[in-house]
Amino acid sequence: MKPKVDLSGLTKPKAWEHALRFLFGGIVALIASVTSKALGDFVGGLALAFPAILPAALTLVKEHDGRKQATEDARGARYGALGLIGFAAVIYLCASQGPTIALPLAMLTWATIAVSAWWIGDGRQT
Amino acid sequence: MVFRSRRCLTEAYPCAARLILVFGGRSVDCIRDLLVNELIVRFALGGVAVSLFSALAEIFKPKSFSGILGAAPAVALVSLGLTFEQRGNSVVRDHGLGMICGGVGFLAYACACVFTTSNQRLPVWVGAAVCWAFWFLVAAAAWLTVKPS
Repeated sequence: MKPKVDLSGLTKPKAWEHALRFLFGGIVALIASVTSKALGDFVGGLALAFPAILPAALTLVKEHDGRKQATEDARGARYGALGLIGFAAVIYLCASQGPTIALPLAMLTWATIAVSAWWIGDGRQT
Repeated sequence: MVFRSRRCLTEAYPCAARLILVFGGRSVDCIRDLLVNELIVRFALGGVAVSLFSALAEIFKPKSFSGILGAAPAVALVSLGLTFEQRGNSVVRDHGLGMICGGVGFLAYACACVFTTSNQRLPVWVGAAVCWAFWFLVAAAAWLTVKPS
């Protein structure tokens, strides 16, 4: 199974669904910032990995494509979460190198781990 | 609401006391303005990042592949970029350690979501919200294991 690109998917969500995602993203960023200042930087890092957006994403997928597709979406999120751990590990190890090295390297690590895990878990199946 | 003294501000918002230390001798109004401006910037950039990753998720098939983007570090990317700029590398390093614990919790959360989402009797949003308990438990356990002394 190979991943495919279908640009028509961009027209599927309604305007309020885009607004909801924007709102959730903004709220999570605010919570992480306030948590970091009130409870310390370590707890702020915890908040950066809080799954606040996934419930909304799963609910919207279920509305558009059905429960089976929403379950598939949650399965994919497991691979993304593996990548997220790799992202955080790179940030922890390479923070001293500065943002121009640490952030792109962390994103590359996230994508590599997540896509590789998907390929091993689901992609090889026909 | 205008704060006339530091005491007034810190009584209303205990976390502001820490901010006052961060910003040194600047006036309370200045600190409040900085706080509000920073939060607005973080809110806007966090929202844009999540919207972009969500749009990207819409164009990929199958769903198990686009679901990867449901755990994309969109907010983290923006927040860490700003933190690098404002507070330096060592703070970002602490964030990274916290994110490792949170990421382990996220993995447990996503695994639990697979079960609740496939359950026909349970509304998807209810199952996903209940699974937050897994994130809290696993992230807290990881935090207790590695938290800096």
